[in-house]
Amino acid sequence: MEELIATLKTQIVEQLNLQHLKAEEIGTDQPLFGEGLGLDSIDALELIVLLQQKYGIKLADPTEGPKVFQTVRSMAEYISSHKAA
Amino acid sequence: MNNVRISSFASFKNGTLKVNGNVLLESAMETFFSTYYEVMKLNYPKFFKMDNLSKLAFVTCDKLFEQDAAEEVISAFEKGLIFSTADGCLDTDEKYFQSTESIPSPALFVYTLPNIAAGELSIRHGLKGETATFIFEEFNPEFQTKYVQSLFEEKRVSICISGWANFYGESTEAFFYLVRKSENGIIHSTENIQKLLDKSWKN
Repeated sequence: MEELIATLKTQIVEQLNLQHLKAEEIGTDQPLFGEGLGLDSIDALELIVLLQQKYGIKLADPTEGPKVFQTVRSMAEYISSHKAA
Repeated sequence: MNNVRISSFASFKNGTLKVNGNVLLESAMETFFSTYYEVMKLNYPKFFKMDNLSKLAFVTCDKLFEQDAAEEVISAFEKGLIFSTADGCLDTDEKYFQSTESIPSPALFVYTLPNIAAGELSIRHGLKGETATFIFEEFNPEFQTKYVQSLFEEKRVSICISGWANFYGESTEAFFYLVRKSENGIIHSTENIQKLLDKSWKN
């Protein structure tokens, strides 16, 4: 899980063009939206693309989004459970 | 109306950014924008999400208000922007088209309009007045002057950024200036703008 979390942080920085940040500066349990990392609605769409491109996971139910994209850890858990399924 | 003046101007060409004719930053084009962000100690994370046309307009306009000595408070609704470009967002259009070969990128898609750069400038400088984007084959000082002058005559702006940016292929250039009512500064005329442009773009 820790390896996946580290990889995810790097992928998020690249996919979302967060060049002002280093991957390791993103807290594993830091909220990705709002007062956490401050991502916006376009970033949310890019995270969906990331899941599909890098992990082959399609977010079939859009209402799952807020829960899945809460933190890097919640994303990693979602990826783990859906890759295993 | 002869009290409409140019209070500051800035240009970009061949990796050189000048403000009021003085070199502010020179750097290789490939790294210019990230170098600018670092050197100027910007704290504006959205900068990295912008397309190249927006970044070019952003860095060129960034110091216009700083160089403007006037201190009066102007309503955002009296701050205008008249922007022109030749190739608009073609650079981004092509990148977006390439992305459609796999999964289209939403972040690229939002920049596939030529007037998005004007939107980014408006956000950065708090401009909520008249805004327009025009497409010309090259910068057209005469049109731009007449249009901006009419905004002042109709009292639709108290201050206005006017200028040009183009980012496509070999063409990476920008020229912007700040126009306001004032007794000081350069008289806002086609001839003066052409002179400033010639001086700015000359290495």
